[in-house]
Amino acid sequence: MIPRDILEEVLEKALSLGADFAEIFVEDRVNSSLRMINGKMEDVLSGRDYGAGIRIMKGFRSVYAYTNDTSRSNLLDTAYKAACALKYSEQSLKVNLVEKIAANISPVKYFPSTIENVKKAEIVKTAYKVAKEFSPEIIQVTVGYADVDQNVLIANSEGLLIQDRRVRTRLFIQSVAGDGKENQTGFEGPGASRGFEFFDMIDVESYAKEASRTAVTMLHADLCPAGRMPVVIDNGFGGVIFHEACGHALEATSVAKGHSVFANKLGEKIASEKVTAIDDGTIPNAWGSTSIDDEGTPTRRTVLIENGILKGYMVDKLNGRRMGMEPTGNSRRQSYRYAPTSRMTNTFIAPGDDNEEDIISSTAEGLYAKKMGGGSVNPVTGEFNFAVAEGYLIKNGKIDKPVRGATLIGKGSEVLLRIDMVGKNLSLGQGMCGSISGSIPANVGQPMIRVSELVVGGR
Amino acid sequence: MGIMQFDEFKEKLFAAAKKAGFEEFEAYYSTGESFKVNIYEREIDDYSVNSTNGLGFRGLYNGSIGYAYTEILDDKAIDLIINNAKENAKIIDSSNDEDIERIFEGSEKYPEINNYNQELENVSENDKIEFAFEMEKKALEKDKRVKSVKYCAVASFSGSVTIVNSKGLELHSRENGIYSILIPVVNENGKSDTAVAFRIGRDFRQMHVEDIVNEAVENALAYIGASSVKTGKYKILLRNDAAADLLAAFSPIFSADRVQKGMSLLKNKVGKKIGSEALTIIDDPLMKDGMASTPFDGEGVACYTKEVVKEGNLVTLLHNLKTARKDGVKSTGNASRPSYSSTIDVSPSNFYIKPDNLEFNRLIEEIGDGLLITELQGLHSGANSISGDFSLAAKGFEISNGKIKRPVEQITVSGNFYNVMENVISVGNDLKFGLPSGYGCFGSPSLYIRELAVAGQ
Repeated sequence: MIPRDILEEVLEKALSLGADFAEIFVEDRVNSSLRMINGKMEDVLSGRDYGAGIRIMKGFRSVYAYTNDTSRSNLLDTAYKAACALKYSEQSLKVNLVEKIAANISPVKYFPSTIENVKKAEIVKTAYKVAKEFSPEIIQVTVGYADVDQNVLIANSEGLLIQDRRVRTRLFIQSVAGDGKENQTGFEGPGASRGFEFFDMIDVESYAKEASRTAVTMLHADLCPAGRMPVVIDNGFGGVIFHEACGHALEATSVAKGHSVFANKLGEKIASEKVTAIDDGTIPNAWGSTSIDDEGTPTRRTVLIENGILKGYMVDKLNGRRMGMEPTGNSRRQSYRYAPTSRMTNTFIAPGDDNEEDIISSTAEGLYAKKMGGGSVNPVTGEFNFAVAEGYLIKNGKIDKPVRGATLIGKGSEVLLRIDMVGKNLSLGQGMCGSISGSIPANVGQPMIRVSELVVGGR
Repeated sequence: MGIMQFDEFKEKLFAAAKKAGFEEFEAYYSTGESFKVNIYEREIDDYSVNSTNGLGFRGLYNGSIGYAYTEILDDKAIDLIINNAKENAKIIDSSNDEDIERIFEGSEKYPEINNYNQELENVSENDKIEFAFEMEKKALEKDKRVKSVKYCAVASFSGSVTIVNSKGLELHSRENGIYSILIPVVNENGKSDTAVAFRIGRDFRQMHVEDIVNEAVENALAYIGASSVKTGKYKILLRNDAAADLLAAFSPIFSADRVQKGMSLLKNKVGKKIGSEALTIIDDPLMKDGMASTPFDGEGVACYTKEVVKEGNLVTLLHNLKTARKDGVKSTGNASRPSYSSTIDVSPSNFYIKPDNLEFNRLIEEIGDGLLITELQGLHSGANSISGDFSLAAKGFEISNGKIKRPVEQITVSGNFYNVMENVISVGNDLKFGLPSGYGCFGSPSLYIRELAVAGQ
C-alpha cells in the first residue's frame, strides 16, 4: 500500500529523537452493510476507511498518532510530531524492512466485492420473511448484513514488514414480539472470517426462526425472581460469562499495571478444577481469528487456565515490556484510529466430562440461562454483569417455565471457583467486544456449565 | 492521482453525480483533530495526536437514496462513491412516497451557536500534560488508601462539519472542547474500589485539578467496606449521574422512527400522560456550553429547544424529515448523523430532565429508608429500550432514618423505564450531564423513584 522505502524513511524519522521502537500500521478497508426493517430495505451503506497509525515507544512510554493522509510528506510530519512527544536525544538509525508473508489461516472463496448487492439483499429478505412469519405475535423484525474486507500493512523498526487481508461476514436478526402492552426481543448474529460462501454453510432460516422463537417465548414469560441461586448457563454465547468475569482481567492491558484481580497469580489456583480456558486466535475462519495480530505477531493458542490453575495471560508488545513477557499474538485494534493492545480472540472454556442432562437433573432449584445477552466488567474489582436473553426456572431437576428480565452479577474471582459442573457440548458464539482499542470481533464459547451460586437480578 | 482538498473534490463529485443520473445529492464532510495524554506512575503512559477527515455522500437515484463514504479524497474515491451509491440506491425500498428520503433545501434561518472557543486552541500541550500529572499526583497524595490511578487523562478535540447539496444549501459549523478523566484505585484490607470523575467543557481555566481529584477519590473511598443488601423492593434515590445514564439508555423510545416501527411503546401517546407530574424532559440543542449543541441537524434542518415531556405529558416525539412527513408534522431538527459513515437516524441533542429545587440532602431525608444508587453498570446489555425492561448491576448506599448509612455493592436494580417515568416522586436541583456520544448528551438531577426491585443476598 505504501512503498518500502517510504516506510523505512518514516520509521527512521519516528526513531530520530531517541525512541527505541517504531511501528506503522496502514489500513485500507471496504465496508458494506444492508439493513431491512419493517419489510423494507432501509439503510444500505458502503464505504472505504483508509489511514495510517504511527506508534513509537521508549521503555514503558508510548505515543500514537494517526492520519488519513498517507502522502510521504504527511507521514514524515506525523512521525516527527510523535517523535517530539517522546523527545530524548537525537539519533540516526537505519531501518531495513524485509517482507514476510503471513500464512493465511482463513481462506476465502467469494470476496465481498465480487458479490452484487442484490445477492446480499436476497439473504436479508429470506431471513426477514422467515422471522416475520414465525408467529403473528412478531410485530417487528430487523435484519442486518455486514461484510468487511480489511487490508493491513504493519512495518516496524525491528525490520518486520507484513501484510494481512481479513474478510468477515455477519448476519444480524432481531425479532420483536409484542401484544400492544409489552415488547420482548430475540437476537441471533452468526458471523465468520469468511466471504459470501458463509451463507452456503449456515442455515439462515433456522437462525431467523430461532430469533423469533426467543422473542415469542419471552413475551409469555414471567418476571424472573430475584436472589441467589444456582445457575446453569448453556453453551455458545453463554461463554460471555468467562469473557466478562475472567477474560478481560487476563489481558495484559489490566495485568501489567497490577489493576487486575488476577495479576501476579501465575501458577495459582484461581478457578475450580473443572475449568480449563483457552484463547485461540488460530481457529480457521473463526469470527475472532486473524493470521497475525495488529502488531504483526502470528496468532496462537494460549492456555489461560488449566484445571483451575492460572497458566498464562494475553500479552501485547507494550504491556509485555512491563511484565517481562513475550507477546502472544493478542494485540488488536478496531482500526488505524486506535493504538493496539492485548485483547481476546476466540476465548472459551474447554469441554469437561459432565453430561448436560445430569447438569440439569442434579439442580434442584435454580435458573437455566439458555441464551445470554451482553455484559461488562470492571477488571479492578472483578465485578461483572450480564443479561440473560432467554431464561427458565429449574424446578426439581427439570426445566420449568420461561422467565424474563434476569441479569447475573458477581465477582470474577468468586464465580470461577464456583463452576462445579462443565459439560461436553462446546460451541462458540460471535460478539463485538468493546475496550480501549475499540470494538473488535471476538468469539466467546463454552459447553454447558453450572455455577453453584450467583446473584440473579430480577423482580 | 493526488489527494484533493474538499472544495475541489466536491466539484468533481457533484459533476460526476449529475452525469451518473442522480437527481438530488449532498456531501457531508467532517474534519477532526484530537490530542490525548494519559499518565501512569508519574510518566506519560500514552500520548496521541491525530487528524482525520471523511466525506459521506447521499443521492437520489431512480426514486431512492443511496449512500457511500470515503476517508480518502482522490479520483478513485469519486468513482467508488458514485458506483456504490448507485448500487446501494437500487435495492432501497421506496415503493411508498412517504418512505423516500429527500435532500433538504434549507430552513429559513439558523440559530447562532458558539461551540468554538479560540482560546482553547492556545492552551499548549504542555499545560494539558501538566494538568494530567497534577491529577495523578494529587490523587495519590489525597489519601493513603489511594494505591494507584487506573486512568488519568486529558484530551482535547476540534472539528468541523460541512453540508453542501444540489439544492443550494451550504452549512458549516465547528466546535472544540477539552475533557479530563480520573479513575483512582483505592484499597483497604486487600479489596479494591474505583470511581470515575470527569470534567468537560470549552474553557480550560474552569477545569480544576482539586475538584476532580476530590470527587473521584471521595467517591471511591466511600465504597470501602461495601456489601450487599437483602433482596426486596426498595425506595430508590437515583443520583444525578446514574439517572442521566438511565435516561441515555432509554432515550431511543422518544424517536419517532422507533415509534413508527413498533420499537417503542409511545405509539399514540403524544398529548397523553406518560410520567408523573414531577417529570419534564427537555431537548435543548441551543444550550450554552452544551456539548451536543448545534445550529442544524444531520439533514441541515435548523435546531430549536423544546419540551419533549411536560409535567408528565408527552408533548412531541423527536423527528427527522422522513418521520415527520409520515406523521404529518414538522421535523423537530433531530436528524442525527454521528459521522460521515452513518446514515440518517433520529436522536436528541442536549437531552435532560428538568431540575426542581430540592437539595440532595433533602431528598435523602424525604426517602427516609431506602437505597441511594450511584452507579449503574452494563447499560448496553441490561437495558432493553424496546421492552423498557432493565436489570442492572448497581452500587450505592443504604439510606436509613434519612441518613446515608453504609456502602452497598453486588446488587442489581430492576424495573421498567415506562414505570420509572410514572414513579418519579421528586426531583433534585443538581442537574448534571454525562460525556457526550454521537447520539446526544444526557443530563439529569437526582431522582426519587417510588420503588424498584433489588436483588442481593
